[in-house]
Amino acid sequence: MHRLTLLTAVIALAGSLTFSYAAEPLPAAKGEVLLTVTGEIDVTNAPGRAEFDRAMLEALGRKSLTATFVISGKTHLFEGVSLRSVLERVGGKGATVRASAWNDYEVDIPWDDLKYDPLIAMSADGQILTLRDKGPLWIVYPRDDYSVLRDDLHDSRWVWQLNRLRIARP
Amino acid sequence: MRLTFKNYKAALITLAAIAVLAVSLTFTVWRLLNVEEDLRREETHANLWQVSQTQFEASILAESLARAAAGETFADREQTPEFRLAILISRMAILMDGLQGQVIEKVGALGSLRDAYLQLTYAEPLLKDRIDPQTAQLLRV
Repeated sequence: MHRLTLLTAVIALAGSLTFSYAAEPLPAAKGEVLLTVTGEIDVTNAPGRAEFDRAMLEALGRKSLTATFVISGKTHLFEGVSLRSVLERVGGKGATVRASAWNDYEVDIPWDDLKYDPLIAMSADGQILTLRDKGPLWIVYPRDDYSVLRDDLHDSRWVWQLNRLRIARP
Repeated sequence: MRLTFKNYKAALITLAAIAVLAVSLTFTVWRLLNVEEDLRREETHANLWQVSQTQFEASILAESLARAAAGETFADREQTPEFRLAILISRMAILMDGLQGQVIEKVGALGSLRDAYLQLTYAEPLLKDRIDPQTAQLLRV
C-alpha cells in the first residue's frame, strides 16, 4: 500500500514538474532575437509569439551531432539546441512546424520528425554560424545516423538562416 | 428593374463564370506553389532554383544599394545592404560547393562566380553598420 502511494506521488510530482516547465513564463529576450515561435503555443513573451535570443536558446541545453551536409558533401560537428526542446519550452502542440528563413525559404516539418531529434545548430566545427554562412540558426538532421533521412525530402528540411517557426494544427 | 427569367439566367451564368474563374485561379496558384517546391527539392532542378535565387538576391542587393545611395534610411534590418550582402554571399557559397559547384564549373561560370564572390567579401567591411550614400553609389558601379 505504501509502495502504491509512493509511486502515485512520484508520478504526480513528475507530471507537475513537466507541466510547470512548459507553463513556466518565458522571460523577455534581452539580446538580439534569433528565433520567433508563433502558432499553437502556450507560452509567449511578446504579443502572440515567443522570442528567443542566443542566451535563452543555450539555456535550453546544448546538444551536438555530427552530420554530412548534402550540398558540400562535408561532415561537420554541429552544436546547438534540440528543436524538440524549443517546441516543448513554448508548450507547442501541432501537426507541423513551418520553418522560415531570413532568405525567405520556407518548409513544413512534420511533428513526426521530432523522433529523429533534429538540431537547431548555432555553431559548426566550433565556429559560431553567422548570417553569411547559413546562420545564425540552422536546422540539421542526423542524416548520417538514419538512412531514412538521406533523401531529397528530408534534405529540404535543413533550413539555414532560420528565423521563424510557426506551429500549425493538423 | 424587373426580375425576369432572362435576367435570372444571365445572373446565374455570370456567377458560374466567376466561380469557374476563382477555381481556376486557385488551381493555378496551387500548381505554381507545387512546381516551386519541386524545383527546390528535386536534385535535377535544385541547381536551377539555386541559381535563380542567387540572381534574385543580387537584384535585391542592387536595389538596397540604390536606396542607400539616394540617402534613404532603412527601418528594417532586412532591407539594409549589409543584410542583403550577407544573404547573397551565403547563396553564392552554396553555388560553389560540392556537386552544385561541379555543375557551375561544367557551364564555365565557376571562375567568374569566384571572382564576384571575392569582390563581394572585400566590400563587406564597407557595409558594416551604416553605409554613406557616396560609398553606396561607388559600390553600385
